[in-house]
Parts: sequence; C-alpha cells; structure tokens
Amino acid sequence: MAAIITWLVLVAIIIIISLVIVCITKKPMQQLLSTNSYILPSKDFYVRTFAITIFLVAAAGVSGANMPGEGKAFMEYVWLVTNALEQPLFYMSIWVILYATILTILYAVLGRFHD
Amino acid sequence: MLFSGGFMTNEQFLYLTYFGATVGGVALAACTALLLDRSLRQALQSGHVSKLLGRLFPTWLIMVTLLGFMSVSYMECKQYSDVISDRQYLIDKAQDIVYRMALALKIALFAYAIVVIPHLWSAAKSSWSDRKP
Repeated sequence: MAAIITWLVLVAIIIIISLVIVCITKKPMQQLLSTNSYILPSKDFYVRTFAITIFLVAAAGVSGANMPGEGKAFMEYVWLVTNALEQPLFYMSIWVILYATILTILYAVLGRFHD
Repeated sequence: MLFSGGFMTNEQFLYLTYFGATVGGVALAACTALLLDRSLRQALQSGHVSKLLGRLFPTWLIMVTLLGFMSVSYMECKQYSDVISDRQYLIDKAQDIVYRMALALKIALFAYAIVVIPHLWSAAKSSWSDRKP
C-alpha cells in the first residue's frame, strides 16, 4: 500500500509542477507571439510545442520511476520520490530556460517591427 | 544541544534538517525572486518579454534550487539503519544540502542574467536607430 501511495504522490507532484509551468507561461507567451504579423501565425505552434514537451517530460519521469518495495522507512519513500523527481525537473528547467531564450531572441530579431 | 544527540533522536533530526532545508531553500529562492523582481522589470522595461521573463523568474529559481536539494543522496552504499545511526553523517549531509542549494541558486541567477541579454541588445539597438538623423 505504501508503495502505491508513494507512486501516486510522485505522479501528483509531477502533474502539478508541469501544470504550474504551463499555466504561468501560456498567457505571456501568447501575448509575446501576437506582437506583430510576422510571428503571429507561429503562436499556436510555439505554445503547444512548449506544453506538449513539458507533459512528455512529466510522462517520461513517471514511467521511468521504479516502483518502491514494501516495508521501508518513511524517509526511504521520500528519497525515492525525490530521486524520481530529479531527472524530470532537470529536463523541465532546461526546457523552460531554453524556450525563454529562443522566444527572447525571436522577439529581439522580429518583435520590434511593430505593425 | 541540537547537534549533540540529547535533544532529539537521529531520525527526528533527519526529518527536521531534511524538510527544514526544503522549506528554507524554496523560501530563499522566493525571497531572491521577490528582491530582484522590480529591478528585473526595470531592466526589461515594459513589454511582452518583460511579462514572460518576469513570470518565469521565480519558477526558474525555485526549480533550480530544488534540483540542488535533490542532488544530495543520503543512501550512498549505505543501509537506512547506517544512515540513522551516525549523527555526524546527518549533519554533514544537511550542510551539503544547504551548500548545493546556494550553488544552484547562484547558477540559476547567472543563467537568467544571460537570457536577458538578447532583449537588452535589441532594446539598445532600436534606441540607437531611433536617434539616427
């Protein structure tokens, strides 16, 4: 039972983290990509690519996590969750900063040409 | 007294330091983001990039600080009973967590400062071209 609860906690944390990231970035990203007609058609593509990648990283993190055994101490379950969270969180943070950089460069190159 | 072992058991000490470090690290990242929020917005001026980067800033800092926290492993070729029995090992690991979270926060701030550069470059360039006769 403890193993299932641990796994469910892990799934819940990963889903919450990915939802928070997508919700925080979606609106400003849409506004940023709507600044002029050059980059407006790419709005949906960029926003959806970002969200899909975040959820794929989350899914990879959940599926890659080992199911813990029974009869362990409380802290061993906590460490299992943090170990399983480390890799998806790393990839998510890399993806977030990479995407922010790409969008900043895109805006720097094209965004200043207002219609 | 807290470190000597008379005040609480090693397991209680582990809970206190581990969860205390988590909360402390997240609070440190959030305070740093709060402290730098206004100056970041000033640097980016107004605009859509400012909104995006301003919103991502606290999330990014917290994520990287948590990564620093998660990079510490207590079970390096050890059983749980061995981890719990050694108070000095728990103290060392707690210090290691604080060190890695501070290091991760520093790297996160440096990386974000680099991300802001293209926007500043673009703003400066458009300002120069506006000044041209």
